Amino acid sequence: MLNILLVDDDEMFCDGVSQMLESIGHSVTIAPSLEAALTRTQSERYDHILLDFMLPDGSGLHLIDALNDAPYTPQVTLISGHPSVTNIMSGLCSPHVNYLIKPVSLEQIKTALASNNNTPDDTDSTAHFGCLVGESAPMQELYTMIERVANTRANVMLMGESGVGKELVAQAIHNASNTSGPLVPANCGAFSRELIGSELFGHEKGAFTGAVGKKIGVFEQAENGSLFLDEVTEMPLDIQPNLLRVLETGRVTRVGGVKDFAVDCRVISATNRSTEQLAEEEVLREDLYFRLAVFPIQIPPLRQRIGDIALLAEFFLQQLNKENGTQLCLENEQIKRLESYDWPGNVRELRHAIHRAFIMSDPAQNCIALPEDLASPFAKQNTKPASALSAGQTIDDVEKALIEVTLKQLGGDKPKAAEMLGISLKTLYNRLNKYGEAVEM
Amino acid sequence: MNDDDVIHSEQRQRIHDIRNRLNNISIQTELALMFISQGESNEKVIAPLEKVLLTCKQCSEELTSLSKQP
Repeated sequence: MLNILLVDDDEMFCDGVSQMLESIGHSVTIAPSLEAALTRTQSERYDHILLDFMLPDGSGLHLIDALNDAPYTPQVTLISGHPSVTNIMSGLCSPHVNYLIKPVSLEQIKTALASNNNTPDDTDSTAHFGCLVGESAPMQELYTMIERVANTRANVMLMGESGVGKELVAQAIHNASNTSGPLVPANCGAFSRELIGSELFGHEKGAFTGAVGKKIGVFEQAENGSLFLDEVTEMPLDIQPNLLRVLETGRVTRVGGVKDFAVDCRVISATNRSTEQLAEEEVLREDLYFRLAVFPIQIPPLRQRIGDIALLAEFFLQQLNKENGTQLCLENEQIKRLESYDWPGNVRELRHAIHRAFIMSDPAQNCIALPEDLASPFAKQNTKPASALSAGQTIDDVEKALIEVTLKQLGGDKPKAAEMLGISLKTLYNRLNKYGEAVEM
Repeated sequence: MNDDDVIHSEQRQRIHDIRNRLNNISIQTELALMFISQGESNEKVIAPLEKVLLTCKQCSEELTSLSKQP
């Protein structure tokens, strides 16, 4: 909560802004003149001053001058209805002074307040367990599950699409667990087949060529803490019994070692496959699944929590504003556009889109510049229709469909289609004749 | 200050007043939207919207007066 002084002679503006700011938890005092503002700042300490540039009895600059002699430095946001004074105000900008041009929106005021260095970091205070952002019903359910499992030592398996934030949920479980050890992340898909045993369990000196010294594995590193095994289903099947044994016995033997020793850590694993896929694709041993997924948690995709898109976008934008010393904001229309897109790449894709829009923003504007098309190249790839192949189709059906798709893509250009299909033009004409020219373009 | 300067100064002041009214329309509309999103009562939502209507009327009068100036 900030203690804000609103200095403006426009009664209706002051009334509207103070109601808005008070509704989001700030305390607001109104000063309708320069003299009233000077009196107020001498008798009370304010975190932030929203200051009209032109007041009936002088310029807001006089107040900034007076504040230079004050024992504290409040953040000041100059507000003016004169675009002609933009240059003057931008020249006044410093880490403690920024400006807005009327008409101002609530979002712009909130962004200006978010830059306040006199308060705790807003981006942290809005995060659950110090890292998760979202107030939607699916996220509330997730928070409840995290709270419940954090009180136990049960192993957790996180399931969800790519980009939903599995590592952040692992961090949240670790933060809520109040353990003395660290959270150690390990990506099972990134380890080479030869080294995965050494990475997980460690090795003794001379265990294999190149093992010039003893190495402790991630289980030992995560002692009294949490071990996050990302992409656990990418672990080779023949290594999985070793992991199963550690989970069953709570004891690890380093590669090349003869003696085992106890390890104590919670294992949080993650996969982007569904439970059905786990069963069908046989990428994880059943016995290992039951050890890892004592408490499975499904993380909702972003399209199932549309209400969180605005919060997340604002959160990412505030982080960027803080890193870059800017006060860019999102307009309501832009938020609606973000909410109307289905985000197949989930929160990761949203974060990327905000970052891209932040970079593309016009320095003379207050808002970021969203692109015409929000979809990333990967998203476009994913939205292509799935293969129409299914059991029961004849080769002729499939061939006909392939020719049709190719011709459509090339706008009916038969020589190019033949080249793409890897057949001669003559063969293509033969096929078209065979299908009675039924192939539509 | 000659007559032209006085006229320009008056015009600038009127434009400034109109800009302030537009700013109030923007803020009061946002306030109404915020009340709606918070599920506030109709009375609470209507109050800023009435201010919007009043300010629109004042804006219109200002613009009419401005357009009649030489």
